[in-house]
Order: sequence, then C-alpha cells, then structure tokens
Amino acid sequence: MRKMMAPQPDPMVLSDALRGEPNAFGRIVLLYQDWVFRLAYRMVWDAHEASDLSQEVFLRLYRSLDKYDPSRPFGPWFQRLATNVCLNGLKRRKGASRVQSLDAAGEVIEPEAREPGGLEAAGEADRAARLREAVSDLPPDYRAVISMRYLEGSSYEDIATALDLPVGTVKNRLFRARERLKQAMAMEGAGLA
Amino acid sequence: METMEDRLEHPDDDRLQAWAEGDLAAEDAERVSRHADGCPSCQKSAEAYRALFADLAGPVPSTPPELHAGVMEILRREAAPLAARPLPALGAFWRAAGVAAAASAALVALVALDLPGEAWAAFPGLFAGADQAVPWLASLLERAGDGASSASETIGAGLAASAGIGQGWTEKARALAWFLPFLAAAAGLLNLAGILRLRRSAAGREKEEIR
Repeated sequence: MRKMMAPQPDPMVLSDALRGEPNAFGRIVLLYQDWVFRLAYRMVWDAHEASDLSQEVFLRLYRSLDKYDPSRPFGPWFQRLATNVCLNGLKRRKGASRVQSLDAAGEVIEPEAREPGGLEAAGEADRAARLREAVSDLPPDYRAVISMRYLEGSSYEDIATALDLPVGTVKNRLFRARERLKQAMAMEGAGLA
Repeated sequence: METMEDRLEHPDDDRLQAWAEGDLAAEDAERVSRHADGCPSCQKSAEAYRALFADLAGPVPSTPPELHAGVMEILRREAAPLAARPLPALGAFWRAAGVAAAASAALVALVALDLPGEAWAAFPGLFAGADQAVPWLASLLERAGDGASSASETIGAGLAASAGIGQGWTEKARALAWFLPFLAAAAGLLNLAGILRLRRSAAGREKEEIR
C-alpha cells in the first residue's frame, strides 16, 4: 500500500514558527500543504472544499502553536490536529452539500492526461465518479478511517491513535465502510451496465 | 494441508477483506487462498475489494497553487497574534448577555411602575414594615403607586377603548402584564444558556482539535 506520511519540519524552522516568525510559518505551510490537501481531499472528495478545509487546518495550526509541547514530536501532533479539523469540517458540511458532478466540479483528474484517449479512460472516470458518490454517502467517521488507511497506508494502531479510538472500533469502522463501498460500487455498476 | 472444511466454508467478509488487502497472517491467508481457488463467489468478492482498494488509493488532484498564498494572506489580515486571541464568540456572548439583561430589566421596571398602589401590599413579606423602617422607601412606593395607577388606568382605558373592549379587560390586561417580567427573565436566561452552550461546544471542538 502506498504510504504518504506527514513530513517532519526542520527543527530550526519549527522553532522560529513557534516564536511567531511569519516566514517560518510560511515554510511550515509549504512543507505540509500537499499532505494536508490530500488528507482533506480524501475526506471530502471535492477539490474546492478540500482547499477550504486545508486553509482551516493551517489557521487552526497557527492559533494552536502555543499549545504545542516542543518536547514531543511535531508530526503526530499536527497529524492529529489536521485529522480532527478535517473530521469536524466534514461533519459540519455533511448534509449541507452533496458531491458535485464531475463536470461541474471542474477538478477531475483527466484520464486523458495519464492514459491518452479510449474507452478505458472514460470508464475510469466514470468509476471514479461512482466511487466519490459512494464515499460521500458514508458517515464522516467511516470516511475518516478510510481516508487515513488509503491515503497514508496507516496501520490500525496509527489510525486509532490519531482518532483517539480503540483499535477494535477502527477495524470495525473500516470493515463496515469497505463493505458499504463495495456494495454501492457493485449496485451502481450493475445499474449502469 | 487442504481440508474439506477449507473448501466448503466461506471465509467471513472481514477475513476476505483482510485477505484481499494482504493483511492476513500467513497461515490464515493460505487457508482463505485455498478456499478461494475453488470458490468463484469468494474470488469475485475479493476481486471487487481489490479494485475498491486500488480506487481508494488512486490519484488525488494537485494541491491548488494558491493555497499557500491564501493562508498567508489570511494570517496577514489578522494583525493581532492569533494564538493570544480569546474565543471568537466571547464578544458576541457579552453583547447578547447585556442586551438580554437590559431588556429584562426594562420590562421589569415598566411593569412594576404600572402596578396599582394596592398591588404593593401583595408582598407583605417584602414590604411589611418597610414604610416604617425606611421612610423614603415608603414615600417612593406611595408616589410610584399613585402615579402608576393613574397612568395605567389612562393607558389601559385607552387601549381598551381603541380595541373596542370593555373596561373589565383593562384589569385583565394589567394582570397579564404581571407575567411579562417573568417571561422576559426566562427568555433572557434561555438566551444566556443557549449562548453558553454554543461557547462550550466551540471551546470543546477547539480543545479536541488541538489535543
């Protein structure tokens, strides 16, 4: 499984950022922006919302820097903060907006860009759209574990730590989420066939 | 060694998912694999899971190039050090609390002034003997009672006349007005309770996020 762990900041940069140095904080944003955006995207499956959520994560980070304990590693602390901000954002947004259509969203990863032309590419885009629809129907708590598992390849233990849940609950949510996704994909696939 | 049980018994969906993801212990994985070799239904299900996992781990759009600039712009606009700021709802809380308290006090004062002089006697525990003990309070009560009685009679009569109802309704309207301060106080309390709850949930969310 592909892993994408949260990067670690340079200790000097982190130290400057903790002292309120804006340029140092800017470097932290640069370092983490891809990771945060991917995490947010895997939660909301919408690039515009993921961008808003990413901004929210960094603003929350800035406001919370004084609560960070420098004797502990920054990465896991920030990962937990980012995950919680995304999860709360997702819960707030849930019900307020359904996933936009791929055309309207204007954010499709064009299959042609990766594999030029052909029915295979169109089928891939269609499958991606169905997956997004299915994921958007999952409860936020299920989405969070799915996101962490497949964005970062996180272990059950890592997810449990980040979400402050028992490992058994993580496994259970993951199992149910995957089961629901598989059923949704099979149903929609059959409906479209 | 392959057993009859391995061949006949379908693995439960939990194990099948774990097997499809390569997350089963070697011995258990071998057992599920042996079963799946001869079971098209489990093979199909495992294939569907593998396709799903691949899709879930699929590509994500690129990070918007304006994300970094957007964050820095927001931080620049917020001149005060954000970490030192109080909870955002604090100002709104005190404003709303002040409005609620002022509205309640104004209603209480209006209705109290509108009470007939004899109504004050309905509070024996509170006012009995007060006129002897505190002469200025007795005088104040007397004046307030007289003034309010005449004012309330005038206003009540005017209201009753304009509404086309009899004089008897004036008294009923005045009796109803007794409830106004209590209603106002209850509304004020509910308002405060609601705001406090909002603040607590906002603070809780913030604590949870920075845990």
